[in-house]
Amino acid sequence: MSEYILQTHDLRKVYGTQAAVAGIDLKVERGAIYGLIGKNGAGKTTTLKMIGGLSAPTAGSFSLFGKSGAELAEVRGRVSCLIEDPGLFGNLSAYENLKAKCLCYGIKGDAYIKKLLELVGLAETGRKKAKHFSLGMRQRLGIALAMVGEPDLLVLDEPINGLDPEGIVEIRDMLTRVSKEKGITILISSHILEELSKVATHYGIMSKGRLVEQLTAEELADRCSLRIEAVVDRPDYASTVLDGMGISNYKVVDKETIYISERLGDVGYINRELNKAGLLVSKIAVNNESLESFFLNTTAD
Amino acid sequence: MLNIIRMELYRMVRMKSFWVILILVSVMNIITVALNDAIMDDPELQQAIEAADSEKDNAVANIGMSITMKQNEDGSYCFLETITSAAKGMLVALFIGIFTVIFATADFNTGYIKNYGGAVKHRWHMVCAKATAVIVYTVVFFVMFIVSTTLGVYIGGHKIVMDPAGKIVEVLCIQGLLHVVFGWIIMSICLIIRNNLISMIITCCVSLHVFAALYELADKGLKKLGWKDASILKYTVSGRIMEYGIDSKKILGSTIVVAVAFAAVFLMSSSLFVTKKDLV
Repeated sequence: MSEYILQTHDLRKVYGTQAAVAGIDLKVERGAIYGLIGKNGAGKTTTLKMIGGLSAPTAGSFSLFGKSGAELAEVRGRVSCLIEDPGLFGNLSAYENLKAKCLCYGIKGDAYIKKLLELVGLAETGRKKAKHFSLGMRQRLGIALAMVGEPDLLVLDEPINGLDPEGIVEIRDMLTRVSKEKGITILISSHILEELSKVATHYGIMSKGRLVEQLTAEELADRCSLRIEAVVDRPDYASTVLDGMGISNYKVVDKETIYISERLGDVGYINRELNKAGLLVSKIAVNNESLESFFLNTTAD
Repeated sequence: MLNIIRMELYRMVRMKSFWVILILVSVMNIITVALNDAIMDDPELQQAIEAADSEKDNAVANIGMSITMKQNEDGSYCFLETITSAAKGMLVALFIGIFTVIFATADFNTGYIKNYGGAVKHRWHMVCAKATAVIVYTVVFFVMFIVSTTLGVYIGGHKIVMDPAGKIVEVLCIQGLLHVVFGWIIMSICLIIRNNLISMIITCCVSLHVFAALYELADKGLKKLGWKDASILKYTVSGRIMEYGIDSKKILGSTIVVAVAFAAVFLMSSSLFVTKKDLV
């Protein structure tokens, strides 16, 4: 059985009469990189603020590491977050910003801070004040701040915003690395599914304050990759026919559907062979739904 | 909570405003005390000031700041009289208030609060940590103020006559307590309304006696209602700061009660607000 370190139960946040989050049930497994995807205004940031302890839910609840309600205070220190823009003291250097948070967490030692600065590529910034940093540098420092104290759950809201392509790759690699090496669970939001798809192991798709779908990376790949979708009356027999045609990359999805992920240009030929074998093919077509169109279709009204 | 206090103290001493205010006030204090010596040495100027003071005493309420340093006949200065004249004139409170506004809301304004606010076990710990930093700042400010005043007197070629040690401890402790509580009030207002501009305006209005004028108006109303000795200012921290001096031992108890009452009310309210309100 999977162990969920974060579970929300009908979590809601209402500002005035506007429901920013309208009841979501989220489940995040230990060690996962959970991508929260949604258009601007979908409620991602508000959800992350509540999980990060910065904002209180209007209704509903959530549990962290199996603790909920008043017991949440015990595990709050195991969660770290970077929400919206990085919060930095402009008059302090990267080192001093990190030092302040280290003091707050009771962490001593310059080596720890220097290691964090190296991890995010800010080791050479010296005494340069954070107010003179570029957007990308600020974002990196924000991530370094979120890493202070080796959190078990890292909550990152649009962490690649403002980063150049090289920076995006670095941050992506870093997140994958810390997740694997340190076993940190990462909850990361973005409105760019393409980018999230390169790191996330699980996805939650939000629209208008609701979680419209939760799926694993494999399920997303299945849903989005190019394939032939065939609806036949006897899929088990159809698989024997496909084997005979030398097609091995296929999957029987349910009692009448097969996904074929190779020889996409041979739809007519495959159809003819299935018919010849006495199978009733009620539908056969190439599905070329891309990540973005999948996202758009899922979040459409 | 100790860790949060360490963080607050660390960021406090690294704030530019911490040093700017301390240095600026110290330099200005040395200059004005030395200048005060020059005025005191000039009988015509002294006469003009005394005339202005007597006119001021007849006024109903005075908005602004007035500090009068009295000189002994032999040209020396009484230590406590010299130090408390600036405190009673609300000069010290004004600068402590200004720094508190800048300091208390810095982590909210910069968004740094997002880095640690969610992980804090009890949010009232954050209020306590800020309150501790205000105590440290007040003590540092008082020390700097005493040193710069003393320097100013000596630069002017005069001497300071020390008061009895017990008296010095009593007056400085009470004025220190009142100024700390004043800082906490400003800090609490900042945390509750989270608006630097309004907090700064309130600080200036209290320090420059605008509120005193309003209290005086309210007193008039209360007197009409039958409370003949109505004096709201007496029951405020700023009123006690303006009143407490060398010969104020008879109001020592009531001054402590006023300070403790204001501290309790404001610290509890700000803790409640910080706990209940969203941090961002």
